[in-house]
Amino acid sequence: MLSYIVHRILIMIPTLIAISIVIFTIINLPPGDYFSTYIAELQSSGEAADLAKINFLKAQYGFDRPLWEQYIFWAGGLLHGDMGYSFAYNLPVNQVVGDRLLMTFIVSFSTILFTYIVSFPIGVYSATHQYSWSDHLLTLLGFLGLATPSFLLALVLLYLANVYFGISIGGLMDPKYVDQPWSFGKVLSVAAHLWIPVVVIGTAGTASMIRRLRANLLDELQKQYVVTARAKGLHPLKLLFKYPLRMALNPFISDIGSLLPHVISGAAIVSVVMSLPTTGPMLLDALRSQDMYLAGSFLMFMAFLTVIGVFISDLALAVLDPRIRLQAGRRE
Amino acid sequence: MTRHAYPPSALFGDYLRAAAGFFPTIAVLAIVPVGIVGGTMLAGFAALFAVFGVRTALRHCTSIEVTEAALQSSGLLQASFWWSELDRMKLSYYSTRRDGRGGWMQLKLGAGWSTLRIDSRVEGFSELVIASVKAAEMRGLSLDPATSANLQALGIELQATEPRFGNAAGAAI
Repeated sequence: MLSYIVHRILIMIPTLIAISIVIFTIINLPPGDYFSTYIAELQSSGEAADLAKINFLKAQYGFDRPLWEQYIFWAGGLLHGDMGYSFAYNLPVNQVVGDRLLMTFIVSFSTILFTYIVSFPIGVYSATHQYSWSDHLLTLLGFLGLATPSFLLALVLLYLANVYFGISIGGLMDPKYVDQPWSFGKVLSVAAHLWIPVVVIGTAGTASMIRRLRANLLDELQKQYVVTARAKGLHPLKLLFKYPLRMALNPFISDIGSLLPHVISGAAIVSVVMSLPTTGPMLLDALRSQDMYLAGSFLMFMAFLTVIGVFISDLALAVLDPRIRLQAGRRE
Repeated sequence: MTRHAYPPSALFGDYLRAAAGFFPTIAVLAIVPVGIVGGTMLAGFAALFAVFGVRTALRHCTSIEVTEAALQSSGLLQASFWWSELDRMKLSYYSTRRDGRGGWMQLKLGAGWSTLRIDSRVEGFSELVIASVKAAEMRGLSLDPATSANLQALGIELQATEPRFGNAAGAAI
């Protein structure tokens, strides 16, 4: 296992370097830069730009240097936690991101937990009670969850939460706690608001996981070793947990890789609708305004989460089911 | 009696990996002011690669002797047990490629507190696996589905093709 971990880490490092080069190239592809757009905007509205400050920032962040030097400067900064400077906010990216990153983590991990906690027992129940009325009901709910657009569900839940629970519309906390230091009241307010975005963002993922777990588990439950174990009188729960469930979990675990970045990037539209103070809306703004360090750092953060997620899911798969799997028509 | 050791050519790649992970990490730690979080992560990586390097060196100096009655590893990684005491066996396959090719196997054998992990790059790995399977079948050990699949991939047929549902002492249901 140690060899496997070392191999995987050694693959991760060049992968991250390659991704950082691609990200930096892409955010530099549009003509001009943030400053030229900014100056053009000011001139079109008849205002004077502070050219001295702009030239200072250009020189400080190496905009007058070749692209590869700019990349080295940016990537070197990332290594020691300097994510660059947000020209749109006139603040270092670290300060701009601030609480938003923490909020994003809270929303994302709560959503992942919600997805797993809800889908796991329902998927197992549906598979072990195939074609019962409860299975049909859960299947219907699953399809509804898959088919309902997240932003629509967000609007409906915001309305219901406000009317029936008195929770303020939008945001992750009551307005009086915004920009205030953390306190017990603020934590309670976040907890009271959190369930809406978690349910909205997690519903589609939960529904698809239920369907997949059900299908995988049904495949396993029909195999001969399960029939043999049943015939020999093994306790149904022990049989379920010892082999079929473990086998059925493989696709479940391999999903972790795509789950982390998907929850963050996929939540952007919902975050805009619900006015969540997370990173999604900020990423959209940064991409629109060519705020390159802010956009690049976000994209790099998401790429990092993807690589970490795939690493975790690969490790979990290697621990749970380290069997030989050769693709392209070879032995499975 | 057969003797199995890791050929230096097989371990050369592992030495390179340990060095490729350890030295750049240490260099970054020494040169770049990385902060507490980054520093902890890099120090963790450095420790991991150092342990990997040490383990590769230990494997380099280890040889495994197999007889009809027992298995013994001598050198710096010492372990030994009688086949009649074998109470766990697991054959795992690891690959870092998406298509599953180019991987390696690891045979894990245990008796009581004694555990031995043998990499498939050891000379005569198949003979070692066959001897282990014989002992496992003699002891009536329960082999998990992954081990059974990997044994079949090696062309080793089990007497009982279905996994057994019982404890290590062979109390099958």
